[in-house]
Amino acid sequence: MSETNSCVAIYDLQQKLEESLDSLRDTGCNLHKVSVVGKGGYSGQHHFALYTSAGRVQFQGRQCGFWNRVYALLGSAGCFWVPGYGPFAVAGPVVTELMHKQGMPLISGQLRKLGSGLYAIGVSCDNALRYESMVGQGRLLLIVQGNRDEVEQASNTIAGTESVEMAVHVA
Amino acid sequence: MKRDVAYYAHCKEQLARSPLFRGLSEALMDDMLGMFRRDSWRRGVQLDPSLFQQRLFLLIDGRVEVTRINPQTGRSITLFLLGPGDGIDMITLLNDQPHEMTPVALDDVSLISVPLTDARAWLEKHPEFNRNFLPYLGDQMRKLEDLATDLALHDTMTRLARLILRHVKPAGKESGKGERALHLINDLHDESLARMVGSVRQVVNRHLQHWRKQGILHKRHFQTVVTELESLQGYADEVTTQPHVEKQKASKSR
Repeated sequence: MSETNSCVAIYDLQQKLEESLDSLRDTGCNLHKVSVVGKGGYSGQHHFALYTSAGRVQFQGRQCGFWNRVYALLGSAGCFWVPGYGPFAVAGPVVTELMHKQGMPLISGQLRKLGSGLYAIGVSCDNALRYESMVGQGRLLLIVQGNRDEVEQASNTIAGTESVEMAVHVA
Repeated sequence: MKRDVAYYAHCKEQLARSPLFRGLSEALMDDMLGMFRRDSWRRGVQLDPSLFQQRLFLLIDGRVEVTRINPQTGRSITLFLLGPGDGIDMITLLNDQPHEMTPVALDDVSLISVPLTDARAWLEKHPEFNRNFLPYLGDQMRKLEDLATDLALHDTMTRLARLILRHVKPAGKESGKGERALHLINDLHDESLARMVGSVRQVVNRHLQHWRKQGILHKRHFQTVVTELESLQGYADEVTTQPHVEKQKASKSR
């Protein structure tokens, strides 16, 4: 059963998100419950690829350094392409939610694949739409799922980082 | 919470409309909001009471029903129905004691929260906030007093009429044809209304049907509106209201 408590933070710079991941690791947060979502730097001018080589996930694109480090740290990797929205890259357990939970169009018809995945982990429809739009604008999402205590602890850690904003979602 | 976020402005706007924060200076609001974190609860979620031992939550959008449940019988009663600008479980903020209550989100709810210790420290630092805070607490106590009095002294029909009247929007917000819209309870189903008046769905449904047949209430687009305020007032004032209402109607038609 997927966790429906989550803490979602928005970052405008990859470096700040990486610092936040470091802080989470240092405070003992289980990184198997952490996900990162972003556009992968895709602007229509550059190629964009995800593949495995010698058992390692490799990302090719403008932000390849950042995404390869994140994939190595968080495990699960995925890239999705949605008509009208374009591609986006995901690392962490949210990949599974995006693959398996697609009930959202029944609720509003507005959310795309990313929004559906966020809704599946407890984010309300309005916020899922907002996060989807933020990612579309090139911002990065850091998501920590878990029980209430885990999410509280993660939110306290993230509060000390340079996120654009942070919110805790319970469902 | 950071000031450059659009949500920050929305929070300020919503809070400024509520009795708890109305008239507070810009500087005081900014000082307070700076401590808060953004939260959201999905519709239908039941919150663990222990959460409110740790953080103070203020509602920004949506409604929260604060209930108490008898685990043996499963019966429940609604203590408070909270809307934008309300604080959830202010009692724990005051006395720091475990509080048996279950908040349930009636809509997708947006909130802001702060650790209780920080909220208490802020209250001590800003005694001027008490000008709003104490009347707000007084109002909450009055609501509990109304609930206790209604349960002890009135029958279900009277309690239901009084509940609806307490949630009628002020004059000037008529939705047309003299209809008066309701605040917070406008789209609640009968089960929720029953929890608010200490009754059961079937009884509440019977009374609501009766009033609809009489033209006192009307349901449009899933929203209940009051069409005959005076008649409803009649039911709220007396236990045996039928003759009274008929008398009112007669005098009106004359």
